[in-house]
Amino acid sequence: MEVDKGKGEAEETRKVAEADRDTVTLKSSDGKLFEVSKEAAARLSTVLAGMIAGGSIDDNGTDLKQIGSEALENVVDYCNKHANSIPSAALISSSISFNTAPFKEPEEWERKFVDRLSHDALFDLVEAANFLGMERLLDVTCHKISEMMKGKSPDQIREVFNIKNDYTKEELEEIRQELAWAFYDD
Amino acid sequence: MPPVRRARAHPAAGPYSTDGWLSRRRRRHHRGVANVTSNLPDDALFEIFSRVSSAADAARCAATCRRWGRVVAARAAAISRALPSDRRRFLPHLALGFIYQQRKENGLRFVPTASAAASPLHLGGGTPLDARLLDERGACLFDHARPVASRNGRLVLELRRADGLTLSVWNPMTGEVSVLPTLSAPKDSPGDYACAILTGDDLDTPPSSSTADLFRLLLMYNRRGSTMLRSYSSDTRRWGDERDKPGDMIRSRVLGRLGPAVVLRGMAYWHTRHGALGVLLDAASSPSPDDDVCFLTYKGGYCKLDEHVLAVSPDGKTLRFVEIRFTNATQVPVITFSTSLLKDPTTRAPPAVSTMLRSTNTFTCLGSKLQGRAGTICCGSVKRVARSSSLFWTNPAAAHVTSSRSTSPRDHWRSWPMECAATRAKTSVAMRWTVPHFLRG
Repeated sequence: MEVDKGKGEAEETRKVAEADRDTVTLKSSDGKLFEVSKEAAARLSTVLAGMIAGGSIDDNGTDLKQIGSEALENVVDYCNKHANSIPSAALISSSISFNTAPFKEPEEWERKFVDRLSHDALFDLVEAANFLGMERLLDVTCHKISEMMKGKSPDQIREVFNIKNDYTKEELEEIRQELAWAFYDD
Repeated sequence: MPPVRRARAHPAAGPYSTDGWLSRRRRRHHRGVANVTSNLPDDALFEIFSRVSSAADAARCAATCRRWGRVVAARAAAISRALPSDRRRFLPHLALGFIYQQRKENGLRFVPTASAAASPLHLGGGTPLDARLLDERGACLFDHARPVASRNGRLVLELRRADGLTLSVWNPMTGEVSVLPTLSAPKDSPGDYACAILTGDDLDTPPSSSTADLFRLLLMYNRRGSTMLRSYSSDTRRWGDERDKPGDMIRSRVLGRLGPAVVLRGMAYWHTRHGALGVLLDAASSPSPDDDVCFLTYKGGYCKLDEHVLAVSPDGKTLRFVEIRFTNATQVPVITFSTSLLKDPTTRAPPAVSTMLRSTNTFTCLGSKLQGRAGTICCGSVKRVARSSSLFWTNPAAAHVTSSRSTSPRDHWRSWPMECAATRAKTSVAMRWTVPHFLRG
């Protein structure tokens, strides 16, 4: 690995090495390093694609200060699994805009991938995917969360996600009245 | 054989590695008192809300806590747009505005609701409709046409023809026009008549082919001392046979004054002074229509026609009764909604919601669009308001009032609500749902 190479190395050689490498190194907020294939990163994340194209990828680990190591590990894991489940060229185009392209149901492995995550890890992954501009991963994770919310009453949602109700009684009554249509039993 | 995993922590992590214990501990501690989403930025929360499976889910999310409510309220328009539109039951029927006719020779004009006016459709207010369709004789098709019914984005127009009654069904959003076969004088042409249009959403067993284009027309008119029913189907493109309406004859003067019909489970209901007259669509074609016509008597007795309207509850299951009165001093309308059609309107105990409209400004269109998920915007009520000149659309259950401005109170004499049936709308219109005032930015 090139990480420990001193500064004495000529800039040129580094550039060459970088161009040759087929992986990028990402550094989490707590300093852990992860490697992911350049091709997968560029394909799945608009942010990483921009960084790779713009040459702002750091060989010693690109700092992703917003993302913890657990979430980044999941991101990298997802990228690797995704790379193995090719062909999926359709997925890339499908994720550009949710307005024009309908959401594609998660594939079996994607379902398994998010199912094993804890609530904390799942929301961390949403944050990471949002930060990295990974539309497909965002689709898959948010789909999982929306499944957890589906058809539930506000009370049940609070219970699932451990949310404290900070509305007053009057406010809740007002919401119920104004959004009455949402509270009809399905 | 599983692929080599590279997701492990890098062995040579360098001097910055703290193994994450501090940040992780801090986060965990924070979460002890809060919840799994408290660290999530609003942007990421929005991504979640825009991927829920229905508008109702998003609304219930808004009701869980203030922060979620704020995120949903602030980006309600974007969330609505992102919601799946291919699931029919959540399709909003969007109130676009009203079509009215000032005088018969003036042609049709359109008054948009505030939200439709602000939408990318650029629906101008009070402008003449651009309906320069020419008929086979080269005359403008809709010249001197008179609107007689509207529903789910379609408008029924009576065309001015000398040879009898010619009706035309027009979808202003898509531009589709069907000119129905003329009911020619003197044999077929009715005098005063009431007309109702039913669309694919209203029919119990719609044919498998595209229900979006489907419509049926129901006519009720007098002939030879009795009241007759006749229906038109867009499948066969023919009028059915005319049949006697069971029960008493309705006086022609009353027939001519009946307002828009409310449709519930394939039955059209007209509001009369003493009750609601319901006619099943198939009554016009079925052999024994005795059960297909009903009259629901209002318990309170006589009602003024222009102060009451019939409506359908947002779940599309029951008929409701809406009363609009004016307080004497200020001429502000008070809208009262009864929970049931047959509740005694004199006691009115207790109305589900009573809304005071203080001025038009307080009602700059609370888009009540998503009410319609059961298939209808509940009622179009047109009211002449002495000074403010506004039109109100009311939803009896949720007390949503949608207003639209217009040029002169005279315009409101009689107008026809236009909805944009979302299936037919080719343009995407930003939708909003109401949010409680304390959440509004």
